[in-house]
Amino acid sequence: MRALPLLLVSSLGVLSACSIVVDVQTDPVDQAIPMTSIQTKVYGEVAVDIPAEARGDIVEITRLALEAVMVNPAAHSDLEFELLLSTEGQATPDQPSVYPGALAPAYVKRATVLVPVTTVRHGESLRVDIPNEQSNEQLLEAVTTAPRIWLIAANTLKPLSPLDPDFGVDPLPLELRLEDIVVKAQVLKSFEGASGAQGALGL
Amino acid sequence: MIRHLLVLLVLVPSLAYAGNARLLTTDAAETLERPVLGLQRSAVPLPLGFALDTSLLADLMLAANLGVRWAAEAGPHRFVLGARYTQFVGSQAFSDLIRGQAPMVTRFDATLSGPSAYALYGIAPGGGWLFQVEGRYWGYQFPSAVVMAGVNAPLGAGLNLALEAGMQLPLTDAQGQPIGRPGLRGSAGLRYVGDNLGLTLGAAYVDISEPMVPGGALPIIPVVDLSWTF
Repeated sequence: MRALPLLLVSSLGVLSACSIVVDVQTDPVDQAIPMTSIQTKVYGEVAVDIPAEARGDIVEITRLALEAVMVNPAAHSDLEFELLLSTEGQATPDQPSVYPGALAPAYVKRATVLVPVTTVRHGESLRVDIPNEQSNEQLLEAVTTAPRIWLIAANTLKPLSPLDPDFGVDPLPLELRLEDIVVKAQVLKSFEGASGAQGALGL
Repeated sequence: MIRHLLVLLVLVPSLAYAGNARLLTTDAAETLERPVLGLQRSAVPLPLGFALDTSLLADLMLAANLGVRWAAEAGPHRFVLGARYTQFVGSQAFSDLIRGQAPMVTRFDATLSGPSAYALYGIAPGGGWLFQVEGRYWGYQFPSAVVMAGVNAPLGAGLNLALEAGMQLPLTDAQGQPIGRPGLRGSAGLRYVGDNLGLTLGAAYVDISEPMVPGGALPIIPVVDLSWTF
């Protein structure tokens, strides 16, 4: 058995009386989303594990930010990009999941929109930055209660019009990249209710 | 008159209890007249029913604490009043421990400081039986309060069955928002009280939910106390 859980259980008596400020930052995750056709929506699903230290009897979420970079390497196509948050998913941290729109599982329809449909121009990248002030209720709830959340990027490649100076044909498959996906949270934890644990310590 | 009182003070130690005046997770409605070194309470008696005490267990877990207790007997009636101040000094140690084990945690600051107070009324009809009720309030970063009834039932040869049942009280903060997880609480255990050695083993229902713990919840924790009364 790992030493930490045993130590934690025995020190829970004193930790349960404490008020704890916890800052967590998930390790950056990159994911490639191969696009095999244009004008067709493709979903790329990434799993992000939320550390246990940021979950539990949370009193207050002081800061919550989700960051990512959507890279469109195509030279001749713009990207229609939408980012969704789901509390269900099939990807794992080791195994992201990519599927065409037609084969999207039912939970994709139930997913919350984090970034509404945005255009990422050819050869450019879009920085996704969802800071605390704009965090919606679902993101706040998901990060502090669920051990794993799924970010689903919905991508459609739109070729440029023939009038555009950069008009051309991109060779397929084309690999889009959702990079540096990081969840940062600062929470105030309190076991407020564990009076029995304080009593068992003699406090 | 003064001489008679002084004689009483000298006589009282011969009636003194062994043990550190702790039941399971609550105080025991007993007087504390002999110095005791114990996990849940180590104490030095002072005149007039007072005692200076600390929870050694909490001190070992880096929650430094010091308290004052007053107790009196009048026939079978027992009265206890106590207060304590606790200051957590282990913030750095726990921070280093957690961050060493979980690299995604960039900060883990645990704070605890504040007073707590308790009051007990008990009846000891004789033979080692004790019936009591305790009210306790903790004023740490978040306040909490409990009312617990307790029974000590002697089983013979220094062994006792101890039971506690009560409630964590619903409290609200300054904005009127409810704090904590009020609800029923209880514990059960066995206490051995010898002439010097005291040992308690039991379990308490605490209703903790905490993802850091394997299983995600800790409804029941063990209660342990070991003491030597001098």
